[in-house]
Amino acid sequence: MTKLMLTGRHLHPMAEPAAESFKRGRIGRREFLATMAALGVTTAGALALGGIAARPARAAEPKKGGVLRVAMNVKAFRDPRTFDGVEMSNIARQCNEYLVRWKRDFSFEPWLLEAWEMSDDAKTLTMHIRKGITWSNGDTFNAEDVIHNLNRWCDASVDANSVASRMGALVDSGTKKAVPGAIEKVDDFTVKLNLPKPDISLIPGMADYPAVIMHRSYDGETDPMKAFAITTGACELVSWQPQVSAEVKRKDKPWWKGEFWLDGVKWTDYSADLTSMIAAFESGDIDTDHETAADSLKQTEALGLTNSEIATGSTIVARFNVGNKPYDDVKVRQAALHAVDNKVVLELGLNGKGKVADNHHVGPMHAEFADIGPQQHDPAKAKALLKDAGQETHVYELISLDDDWQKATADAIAGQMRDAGLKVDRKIIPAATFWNDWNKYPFSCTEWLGRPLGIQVVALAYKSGASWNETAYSDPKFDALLDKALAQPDPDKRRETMKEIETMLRESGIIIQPYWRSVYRTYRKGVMGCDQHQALEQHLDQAWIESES
Amino acid sequence: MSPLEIVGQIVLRFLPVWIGLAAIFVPSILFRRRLGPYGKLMENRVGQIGLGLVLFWVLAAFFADLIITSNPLDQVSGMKNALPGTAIPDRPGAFYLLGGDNLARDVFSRMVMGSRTVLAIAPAATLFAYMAGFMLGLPAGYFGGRFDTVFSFAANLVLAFPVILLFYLLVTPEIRASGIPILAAAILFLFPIAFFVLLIGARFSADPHKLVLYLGITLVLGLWVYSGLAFNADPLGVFAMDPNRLNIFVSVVFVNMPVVFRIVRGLAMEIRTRDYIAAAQTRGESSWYIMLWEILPNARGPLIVDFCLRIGYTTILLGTLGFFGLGVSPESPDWGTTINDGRKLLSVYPHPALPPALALMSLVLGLNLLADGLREQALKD
Amino acid sequence: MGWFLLKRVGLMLLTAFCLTFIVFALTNLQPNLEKMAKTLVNTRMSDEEVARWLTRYGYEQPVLVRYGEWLGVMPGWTGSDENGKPIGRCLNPDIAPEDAPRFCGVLQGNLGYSTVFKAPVKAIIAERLALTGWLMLWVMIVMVPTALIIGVLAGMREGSRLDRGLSIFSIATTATPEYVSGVVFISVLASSAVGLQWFKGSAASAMEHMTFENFTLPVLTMALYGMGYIARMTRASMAEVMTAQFIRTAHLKGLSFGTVVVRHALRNALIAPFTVIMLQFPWLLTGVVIVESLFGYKGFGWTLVRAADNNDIELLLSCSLVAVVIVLLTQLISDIGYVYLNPRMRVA
Repeated sequence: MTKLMLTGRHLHPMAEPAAESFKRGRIGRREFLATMAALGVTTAGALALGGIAARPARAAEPKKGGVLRVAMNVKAFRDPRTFDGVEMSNIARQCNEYLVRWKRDFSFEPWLLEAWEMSDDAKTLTMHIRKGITWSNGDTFNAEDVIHNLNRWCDASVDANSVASRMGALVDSGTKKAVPGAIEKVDDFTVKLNLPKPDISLIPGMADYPAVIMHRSYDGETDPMKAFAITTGACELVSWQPQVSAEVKRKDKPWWKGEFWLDGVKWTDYSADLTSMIAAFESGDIDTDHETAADSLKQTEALGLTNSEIATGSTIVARFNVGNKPYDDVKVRQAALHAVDNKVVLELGLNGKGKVADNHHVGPMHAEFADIGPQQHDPAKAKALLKDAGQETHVYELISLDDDWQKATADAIAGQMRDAGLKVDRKIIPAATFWNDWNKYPFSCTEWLGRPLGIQVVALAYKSGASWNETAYSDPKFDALLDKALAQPDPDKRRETMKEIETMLRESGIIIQPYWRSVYRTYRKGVMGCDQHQALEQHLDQAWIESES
Repeated sequence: MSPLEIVGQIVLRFLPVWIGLAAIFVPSILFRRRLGPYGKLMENRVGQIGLGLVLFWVLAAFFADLIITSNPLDQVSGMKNALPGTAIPDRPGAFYLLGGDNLARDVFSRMVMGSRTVLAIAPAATLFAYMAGFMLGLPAGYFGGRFDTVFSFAANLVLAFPVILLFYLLVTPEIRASGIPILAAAILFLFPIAFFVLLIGARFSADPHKLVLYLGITLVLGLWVYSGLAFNADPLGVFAMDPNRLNIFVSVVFVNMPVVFRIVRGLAMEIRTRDYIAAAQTRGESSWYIMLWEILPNARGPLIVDFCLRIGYTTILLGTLGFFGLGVSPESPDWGTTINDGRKLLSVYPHPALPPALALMSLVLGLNLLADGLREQALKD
Repeated sequence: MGWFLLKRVGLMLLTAFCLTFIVFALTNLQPNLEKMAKTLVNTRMSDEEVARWLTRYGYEQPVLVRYGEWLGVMPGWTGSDENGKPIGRCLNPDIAPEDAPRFCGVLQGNLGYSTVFKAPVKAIIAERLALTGWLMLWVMIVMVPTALIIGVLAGMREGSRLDRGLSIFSIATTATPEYVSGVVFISVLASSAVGLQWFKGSAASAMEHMTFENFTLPVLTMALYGMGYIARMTRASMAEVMTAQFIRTAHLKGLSFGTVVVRHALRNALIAPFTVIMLQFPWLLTGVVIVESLFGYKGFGWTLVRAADNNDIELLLSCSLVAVVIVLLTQLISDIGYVYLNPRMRVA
């Protein structure tokens, strides 16, 4: 008999309906798994409920030894809750760990937690902390550490603390700290979160890359060597030189989780230049990379390297900021949407390495996705709309980063608009400058990473006045719909609301969202277990070196 | 298409250029004895080749609209990284002669159109640098003294900067936002106007009728262009420069200016000791007349040679800017940017990067050979 | 000579002073500071957060005051961070705030702290400059003798077929910028697409151990572009010397052509190229930036690009300082060397 729930409680009432939806094909596999995890169902339980055959065990036997050399931008270390790039976390995560891990198969694995349990009304989350983990200084890992981190995460008053936005209902919008009394220590190994309103996104939030668990004494130290002096993970930090390289090595002491195969990991920064990374692969200087651009796949293939692919909820949107004339006119925005054939943008901008999207930022990878059909591609209508708005001579200026695929995608969108007879100029802003005004540009392209739930990103990006709302779109009706959806833990019920949300979003014409992107990682023959992760995380405890290059 | 057909097609597309070249070269060679220094250049094989290469690209830029086979910005689905000679779907009889780039645009047409951007910026920027170099270098060399000390110091200051650092500091969105490029343009673009005003003023000071007429024409034309280029405020809308291009233009002029200043200053210092200068001084000619009408014409040899080399150098510099992503405009077909875009996929698709690279090389080579020919000619005199 | 040196050093200091001030002013423009704050803290920071951060870390003082702090003629700023801990320009976690010096600028030997590399500027510059030093050394070793040989061979018999061929070659190399030749070299000689793979297309491993394989291409790329110019200067100088009176005399004495070239012409012909080679150093700096970026060799040029990209003010200032010193020092050496090699010249 498979153990269905992580804890001893009875099966969550929402689990079976969700499994039913999954079996009928109304929700996708990964969203089903995300929902199950949020409810506190075990992975095995979720597989059993969903009728999915568990994957066969690993065929090859891992080998111990060797240093893995990875090409990755080595960004400077900072307080983990303010991380703004998964690259930072990929070094940190080898030393310190997370409460929950979002695995490659889209399921959530309890990591530093042993189990968690969501109440039926989705308002109480009980977290059971794994016993028997000690910090490298001898302290026992317990509730004190977890509460210390939770409080740090919930402190929205700190500049750039991005975990606060992931802690949703746990943060008091008035005091900008954790809701008083919400974090409750039950005993040394149990913490209970009492939420003022249902929040189904907390567990996925804790698996997100800035939520790395630091020792209870951690207080924002920015010297990585000092910050990672006390760790729970398999490795210790050897060096962290921003822009140059970083290195960790396996600790002498055994790791609570078991075996860490590699002797160590060395990351080298090859900047954003694709050519030098390819050259590094060719020279045998690196074993794997952080991410391979879709355009380079052909090259890495030609080199006899393995490309590992994973489809994601990551995307790019060309969005209008309605605070800028003439984009306050929905016709001018709709003209652009009708001019662009998303299929062609995917082909030219991303080499076809993804899935066409329909301009409403919710996709089939999300449980609550409601299919409202593709965006209508009608260049004649685009011209007509623009004429209606009296803006026939308007020149759209599309701004983008100078990053390769983003630039190419923006160029492709501009090309499509030109094809339809619209006037477009392109402007490129270097990455260092781009973010200065990212949410103010009249018309620009922004990359969005995938979130496990569809409602998460819509609420983050299009709610009136939200800090990441770069469109300045504001509609009380839309906000009401969002609130309604956020209180509907059952994806099936939520889908009805989402249908309205998606339709409204697309009709507002604020975003052109051409595709969902697949991401890739490349590794040489003889390196195992380095497959790409949907959020670009590097779970190197699974990697090993079969043979030297 | 077979490689031979591709070459044949390309040669055919350049027909206007061949006709233009023939129209220039045949009479030049036939009448070379009567054409003075230019005719002498025709007797020099190196100079001839150089001039041919340069004229090729000048004519290609001029006739670009006739030569291209597709719009350089058109993206055709299915033509991404297409190999040279691929037929365009839905357009019977049309081909991407040199293949498609990463955004499915025609490499051949982009290369031809790119010559326009390069030839619009490089010679003009060099010319502006020369005007500024004349206006500052001539008095510095002729008078010497404190003026010379200050400007020589300033020139050495700019020269002590690594060029690339200067560009990193000057060509950024932040600098554009601060308005510095417009201010710099406002100052730099005054030099040509001042140059022509002084040139005419010094020559016709004795003839008020002509003076007023010529000065009037110069000022009207000059200020018209000035308002358009520096402030983007041309009332007729003929001359305009977008902020990004202005930023690059100003920076390129700024980098070249001190070098020209030093050359002009050196030549002026040498020539002012000549007898004919002393003669002019005793005639009571004004200083500006001596500088512009006596010294400058006598310094033209080395200056023309340097001018050719400098255009080549500026072309390379513009490419360098593209290489560091500081280029003219993202979709611009200029050669530096296309080389940089193409080099990312070079090992699988060399065809998008090589044509602009070869084009850039051939133009710079042409300019260098031309300069060499001119120098040899000058030495023989 | 002493007075001459003193004057030059004074000029050098004045130049360095002016230059660093210009760099300082440009990097401290308000949008540049905002950009820096965002790269340092979080790219998606709000405007209020940026303003607060800039004030807290002393960036809101007048530019002149801050330049003074950097120079070391103004006391460093002090303040406290969000937790109330004292912070300041001269403070550092290893010493107590009370014991920290008041002044800490260039004059005190403190070049500051790099915001990008999170390390003292002095250490970074030393490390990166050493790497570039190796690159420069090899470029010089390859470039100078080759250029001189080409120049001498071409200038020996002006107008000969050998001269024409070599001249065209050297013009062609000056017409091929590094970003073109480097790209072509990598694709032809290092990529598996062509299949030659004689060399490595990345010089990243050369930072630890230089080998023929990983260092050839960057050196070749740089040397080739610089070679043409020196070769042409040598050729011109050689051609001039070969027509000189004393060479004709030597010929008439019945000495063989080889002896005339080696014994008499060479020494006189190499004076001009010496100046050119010395003046080549500053210009190599730009080449270094391109080549190091292209080949992933993390030397001085690469550091400069990183610093400029991220508006790392103090690192950028030190980079310009280094550049100025290199430029002016080579000028000085070239002047002195010219005098030394040419007894007819006198120091003015």
